[in-house]
Formats: sequence, structure tokens, C-alpha cells
Amino acid sequence: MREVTFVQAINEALREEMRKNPDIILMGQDVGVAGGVRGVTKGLYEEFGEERVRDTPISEATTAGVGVGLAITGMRPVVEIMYSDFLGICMDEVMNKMAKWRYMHGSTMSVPMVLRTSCGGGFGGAAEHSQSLEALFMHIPGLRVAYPATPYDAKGLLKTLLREDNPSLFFEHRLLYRTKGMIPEEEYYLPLDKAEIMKEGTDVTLVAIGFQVGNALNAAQKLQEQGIKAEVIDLRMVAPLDKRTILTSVEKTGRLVVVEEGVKTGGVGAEIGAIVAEEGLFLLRAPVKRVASLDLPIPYSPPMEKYVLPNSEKIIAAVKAVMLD
Amino acid sequence: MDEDAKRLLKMYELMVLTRKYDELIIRLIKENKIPGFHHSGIGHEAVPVGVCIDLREDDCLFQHHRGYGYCLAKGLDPGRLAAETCGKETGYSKGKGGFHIADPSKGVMGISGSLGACFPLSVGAALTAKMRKTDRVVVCFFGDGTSNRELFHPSLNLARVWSLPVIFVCENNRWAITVRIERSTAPTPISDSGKAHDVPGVTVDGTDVLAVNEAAKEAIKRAREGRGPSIIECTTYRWRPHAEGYPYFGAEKDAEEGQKHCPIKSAQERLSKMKVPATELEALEKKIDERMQEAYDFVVQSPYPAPEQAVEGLYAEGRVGS
Repeated sequence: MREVTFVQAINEALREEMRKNPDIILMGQDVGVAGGVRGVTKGLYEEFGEERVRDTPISEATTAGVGVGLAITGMRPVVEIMYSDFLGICMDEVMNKMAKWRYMHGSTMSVPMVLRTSCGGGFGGAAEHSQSLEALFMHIPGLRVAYPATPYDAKGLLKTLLREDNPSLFFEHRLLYRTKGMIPEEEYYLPLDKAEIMKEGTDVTLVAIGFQVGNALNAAQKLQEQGIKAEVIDLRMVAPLDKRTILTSVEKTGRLVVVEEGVKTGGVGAEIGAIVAEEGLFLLRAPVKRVASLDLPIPYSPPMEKYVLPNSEKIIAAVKAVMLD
Repeated sequence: MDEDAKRLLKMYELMVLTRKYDELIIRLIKENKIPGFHHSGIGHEAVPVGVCIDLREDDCLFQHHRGYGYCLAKGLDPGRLAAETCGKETGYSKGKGGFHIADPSKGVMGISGSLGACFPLSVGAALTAKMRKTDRVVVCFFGDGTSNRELFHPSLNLARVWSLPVIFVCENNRWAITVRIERSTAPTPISDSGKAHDVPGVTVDGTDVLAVNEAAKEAIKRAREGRGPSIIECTTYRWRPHAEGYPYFGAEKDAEEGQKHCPIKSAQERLSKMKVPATELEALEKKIDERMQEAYDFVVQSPYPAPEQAVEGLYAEGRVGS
């Protein structure tokens, strides 16, 4: 095993797969000569050249549409949209073209395309550079939606997605980029239908997504000191959703807290709560709780931003509440 | 018969096929056999035919919603086309698409529900053609109304920046559903839309199949030789309402005017001047009538898909490598 940053993990996934498959090309704003505004594509322009690593104009919808056109004609584009907050600009391309082109044309084509995008708040980005919109896309059949929490997740999931024949969104939390984690020396691929149990426990199940996996682990650590054994699940993929791992854990613990950074209403937690109500209601010994952002745009000023976003304290409070029941 | 007459006769045949196919669809609508909608392409035939006749099988196109001339000229089967429109299992999209029809093996890459989404898709397909070092070209058909789609100009821009083999073919019938062009679109010719991006364009009489074809040959040659994108604007007439069953909403006058500019009739007159015997045209028409009857029979005999087939085909099973 060796230690890499989240940025390096994504970079390695792209580099390794691009070396193997000449059909993979990268497109996006500043991904080429500059190597990406966060360094994710650093060195790829130099290694693979301007044909395969393309800087694009400020035309998000067109760039995403070009990606679909490439994919249905046999290439494997990786399109970067700098902020997931800008996915609204290319929503038709994502929800109608990427997701539906295959199905509505009788499966005569496939759309092997990855759309990478950064997400999340906590750095003073304000309302249009801080959102967590993954729940919107789990509502659209046809898309894979990945949201890695660690460098290990990021590399393993992205490598699998780069070999998949289906379109996917890949959410990268902005505060994860500089985090470090261990990955194997050798190549590896992670399955798309398997959540990861990060810490075992018997009292309560914490299902967390992306950046919030770290907060959930911190919370679980503190709860452990107080005698509460939380099981922490890193969801990894929002779609397909690994409900089996969640239900199996809830069967053991009888309590469920879902932690996500998207706003609470209509979120991933709402879906998970509904699944457990439908398929595992009598496994529960307490009501399901959701820890999520407040139903607000993310405000700029640090005290307000902190107030709106989830954190370890809020998770601990939610766990204590379900432990009382 | 000389080569010019033979070529025109081929175009004539494809235009008649396109017209009669459209009439077949209207017949099926009247018989209540079509669950969805149909945007008739009657009056537009010279555009898809004049362009597609010089495309190779491996050239790609993204079709416009007005009629089926693009698919027919690319060699798609009328029976399977109509079966799709009727929601039958034997349709090109197995009943999942309706007018969303594709056959990548013949370069027919499909049609978007939101107008203009195919601008960047065609740029992407053209980028594939270029990166794979082929000399394939890509054609994107669209209407005058769709020239206002936000994706149009950035797609022209990117096609020019990357010098891609893509041809944007506008069918300008002056109507976007109920709104005539001067109420929605600045008076600049649509063929001039590329001026801001150094993409050349030309406007031709879109009811004259030879005029369309001349422009298409030039654009195809340009694209094939790696000289980049271009625009062809074809002025034409929409004879029918936006969709079958709709009112005309004021478009009747243009529809009537269109009847004086029938692309099929003018080709017929040319053929007669070229001394192609009328009996030849009649025989050809009869053959097409028979094909349409065969298509009709195929459609009515075809089964609907089983309801559960709805769950099939959303995801591809495939994966690259090990």
C-alpha cells in the first residue's frame, strides 16, 4: 500500500486507463495545458497530447453534448464540468442525452461517458459554488452516480467507470482533493454495486456519502468513547444504490442515521429512509434520522455556512437521539 | 439515359418514396394506429434527398423531425420505420422511441426530443471521425426555429476551432410551430450564422433538389478534405401543420404557396425535358406504392412489445477489457 492524495488517485485512474485505451479522451475547461484548476489532470496533456486532452470554451452544454456525440460513435470521453453547480447549464445533455439516448433508440447505441465534477461546500464558495446535487441525478434512470469518499474509492470507482459502457457522473468533493489515503501498489477496480463498511458497530448504522463519510467516522470515534458502537457505511455509489448492505446493517443495529451534504428535502437520505421503511420497517427500533444541509442555498460567511452544513456534532446529536428511542 | 438524368431520377425516386411514406404515416394516423405524433415533411423532400444522396453509408447524420427522408435516403426500411411509429416490437427502437429512430450501422444516429441538442452531438461525432483519421462526414439537420437554440453558436464555434467535418443543414420553412420567422428570428440569413465563427454558409432554394445537391456536394467535399464545417440553409415550405391534428395557426398561406413549389413536380418537369419517358416514372411510382403497401402490411401484422420489455435495454452490459 502507498499513500496518495485524492487528486493523485483520480489522476492515476485517468492516466492508467488512457494508456490502455486510446478511445479515452478528456475535455473540459482548463483540463489541458493547465492540468485542471485543481491539478487533477496534471501531466496528462504532456503525456497524451492536445488531441486527447482538450481544453474547451466556456460552453458547458455544448461540451457535454460533444461528449455524448463522441460516446455514441465509439469514443470514451471524460468531460469535466468545473463545478457541479454548473450542471444546470448542461442538464438536457445529462438527463436526456447521456441518460436516455440509448434506451429511446432501442439500445442501438451505448453512451460510455464519464462526467466528472467538483461539489460540496465549506470553503466560502457561496450559493453557486457549494452545492451537493447528487440526489437530482439518482432520480434519472440511466445514469451511474459515483461519489467517492477516499482516494481508494476515487481511483477504484473511476477505473471501473472508464471501462463501463454506461454513462456516469463522478462527484468530487472540493475539500477531499488534498486529503490523503492508502491505495494498493497494484491496479485495482471497485464494483459499482457495493457500499463499503468503513467501521463495524452494533448499535446504530451511519450511512454516509462522499465528504460526510469523514465526519461520520469522526462522530463514530467520539461515540465509541461514550460507549456507542456505530457502524459506518461509505455509500460510494448513489446510483446504483447498494440497499442490501444498508438493510443487512440495519438488521444488526436496528437504528439508522443517514448523513449527506445535499439539502434534506428530496435527498439521498430520503430515498434510503423510504427503502428501509418499505423493505425493513420492522428491523428498526427507532425512527430513521437524516443529517443533511438545511433547506437553504449555502451562505458565504463562515458562521452561517457552518450552521447550514452537516458536521460531526450534528451527527453525534442525531445518533444520541435515535439511541434514546 | 445520361448520367445527369440517372442521378436526378434516383433523387426523384427517393423524393417520391419520402412523400408516399409520409402519406402512409398520415393514413396510419387516420386509422388510429399511431399512439404519438407525426411532423409531416411533405414539401421538404428535396432537402433530405439532395443532401443524403451523396453521403456514404459510413457518414453519420442526425435527423430533423420533419418527415423521414433522411432515414429513407440512408437506406432504412420503411416497414421497420413505420412499425416504430406505431409502437410495434419490430420497429427500429423496439417500440421505445416512436420518432426516435437510429441505425448506427447505416450512420443514422438518432434524433433528440429537445430541438437542437444534436448540434453538439454532431460535433462530437465529427470529432470521432477526425480522431479516428477517417474521412467520414457528419450532417446535422435542423429547422429555422432551432437556429435560436443556445447550443447552435457554441457548436459552430467548436466545430471551427477544431476544424471538424460537420455540415449543418437548415430547413427553413419560416415556421416554428405557430410563430413565423420574423417574429422570433433576427433578419440575418441563417446561413450567415457562421460569420461570427468563420464558418461559411450558403442559402439555396430548398425546393430544388439539384440546388440542394450542388450545395451539399460542395460542403461534403470540403468536410471530407478536412477543410472544416459549413452551413447550408434550404428555404422551403411546410405544407402541413406543425404536427398532424394541429391547426395551422396562420401558416395556411405559406402552405398554399408551397404547393406552387413542389420539389417532386419540378424534378418531374426536368426529367421530362431530359427525355425520360413518363412511363418510367409511372412504373417507379407503382413500385413505391407496392413497397408502401408491404410496409403497411408489415406494420399491422407486427405485434406490440410485451409490457415487461419496458425494463430491458436501459443499461449496456458491456465492459471494456478484463
